[in-house]
Amino acid sequence: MNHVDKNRLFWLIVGVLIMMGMVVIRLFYLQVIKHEFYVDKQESQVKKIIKITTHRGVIYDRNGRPLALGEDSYSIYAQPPKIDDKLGFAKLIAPKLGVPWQEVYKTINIDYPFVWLARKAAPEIAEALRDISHPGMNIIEEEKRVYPSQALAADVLGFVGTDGGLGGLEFQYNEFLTGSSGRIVIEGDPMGRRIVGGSLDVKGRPTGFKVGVQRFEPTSFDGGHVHTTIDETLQYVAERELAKTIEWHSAKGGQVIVLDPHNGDILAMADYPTFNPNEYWEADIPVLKNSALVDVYEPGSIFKLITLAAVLEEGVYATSDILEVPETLKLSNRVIKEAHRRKADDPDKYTVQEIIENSLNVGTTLIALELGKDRFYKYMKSFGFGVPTGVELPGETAGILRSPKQWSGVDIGMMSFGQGIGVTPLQMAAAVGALVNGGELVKPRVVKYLTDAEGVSIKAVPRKVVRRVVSQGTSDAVKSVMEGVVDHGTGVIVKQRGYRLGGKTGTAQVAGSGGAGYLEGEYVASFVGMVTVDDPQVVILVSVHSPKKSIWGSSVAGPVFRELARTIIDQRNVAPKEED
Amino acid sequence: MKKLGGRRVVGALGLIFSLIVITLLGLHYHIRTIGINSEVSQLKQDLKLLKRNNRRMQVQLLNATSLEVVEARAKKMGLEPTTRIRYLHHNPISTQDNLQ
Repeated sequence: MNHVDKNRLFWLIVGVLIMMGMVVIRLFYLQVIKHEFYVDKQESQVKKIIKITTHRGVIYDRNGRPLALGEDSYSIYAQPPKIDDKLGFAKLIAPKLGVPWQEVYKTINIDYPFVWLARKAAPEIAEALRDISHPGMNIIEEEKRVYPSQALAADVLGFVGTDGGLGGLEFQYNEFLTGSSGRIVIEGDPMGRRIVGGSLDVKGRPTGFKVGVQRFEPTSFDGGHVHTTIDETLQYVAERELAKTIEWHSAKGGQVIVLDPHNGDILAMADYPTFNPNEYWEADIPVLKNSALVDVYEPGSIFKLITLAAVLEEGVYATSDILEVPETLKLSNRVIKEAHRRKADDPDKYTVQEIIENSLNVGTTLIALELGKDRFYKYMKSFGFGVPTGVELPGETAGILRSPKQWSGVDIGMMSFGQGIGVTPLQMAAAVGALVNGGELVKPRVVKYLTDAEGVSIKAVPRKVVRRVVSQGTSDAVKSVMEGVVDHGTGVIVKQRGYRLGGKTGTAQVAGSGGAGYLEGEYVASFVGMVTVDDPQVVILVSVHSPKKSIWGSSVAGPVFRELARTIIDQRNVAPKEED
Repeated sequence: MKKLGGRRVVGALGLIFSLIVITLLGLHYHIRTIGINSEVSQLKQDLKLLKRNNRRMQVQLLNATSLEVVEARAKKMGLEPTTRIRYLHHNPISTQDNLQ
């Protein structure tokens, strides 16, 4: 090899090395410096995101009947800049939407890039519009919440707005019912088909659904179902009878609670006036709240059962002890009176049992005075007054229970017959539940268990005993007094031949706002009782606010209790007691 | 050379033939895949439609069997409210007798 050849070979090698170097630099630039950019680009070409349309879970009653479920619906939107002939477009689609064309024209004749033409429309409308394939209009699938029994249990179920649950269980369990707005990311071809061996990534799986990625089902993203303790039949009868009595007595409103005292199941919770959750926007805002656990009222004479239980439990008196009961009693600067004037031949001595059976305010005040402030307060706290029950519904209030330090001289007397204390109907029902179930305060529950979309149970709401309040003996004694109230006391109106029912009537005055005493002519008529005394399967509380034709708990609230008791006796096939 | 050339031609033809067979097979399976995919898509659509109809029918059925509707229908027929059905026929005393 001569010198020229060597020189050429040298430059050839240099040239090749330069070229190789350029390639290496380029590769370094592409693979190291621009790594992220090209990975993103590759992923955007290969990875496909499949959005999963989820269904909102169903709310069932205790027997598995759907109370709230989803129905397919469609929302139609328009993009005005893409519509050249707006007038023609409005005239074309208005008949299919079932609205005047002027309305559609007004909506689209605007400088917005996006406007809704219809939300949650029926499938027929969507089908009719599909035939009009217009670039300025599109249809998207949505789900509409439907309550097939209309207003039934509306205050428990709540309602769903565009942004999810806005009241009741729909709000409380919104996240669980909604499920996950999930998506699946796959490596696929342009048609969205997954590449064999390509990766699969599931995003947004709801916690609690432990299905392996390889075995996942899109339905796993759907919302779970809520199984309530509500009994549809009892709920229906409760609402029907409450509405009937409220309309008959021209009352302002009322509540009914049917509770299983042993496990705290709320079998029915009615609140009147109510609303149709399918058209919740038509109702006045105050109607949308659940008064059975939001509103606080003075319970009146039904609270005498609490006073009695405390007195018996502390051994202050036995039910057979006799007391001299005057017609009036001056306490501090106030005079305690009876609801009815005493007749000339009425006795002035009563047993403790008779005091409650005849609902004597003065007698109840006397036994409460003997019990004393501190012990009375301790029992009221123990029965759950002054704190929310913790039921799985939003907006529950604590009621008003002042500490003995804040009591005036007359307060112990007033509280002994249910004035000067604020309770919610649910607190009162739960307390009476403790009185009749053997003495245990059980937390009320409206949800029994939750399942995932496939119906697999994932969470149960267990029975929870808050505390023992009174002994079995006291519970039996109180039940016996409640039976006496129905048998020959103020509650005879609810008596059912062949069945041992127990209860207590109440007619409470209504406090004015701002502590301005009691309102003239305004009362809350109540009845609380059990079916039956031998085996208390349910506690029923009925409260009717401001009745006009009659004000008494027995005549206003009693009939509602009686109808519900009959329904329960029939529904549960409760055997009558032996007749003599 | 002639023999070798003949073998080459035969070999080349064999290769072309094999490629044609493989291509045709691939084409065949591709067409079948497209067919099956479109069938699957159609079935998915049908299933979706069925599910949708099922949900609508369920809502209609629940509407029709809600206690309010059933009771109104029963009253129209001159019957007692359905919620007052007495189950105590086998017991000595019926609650019908207890109505005061």
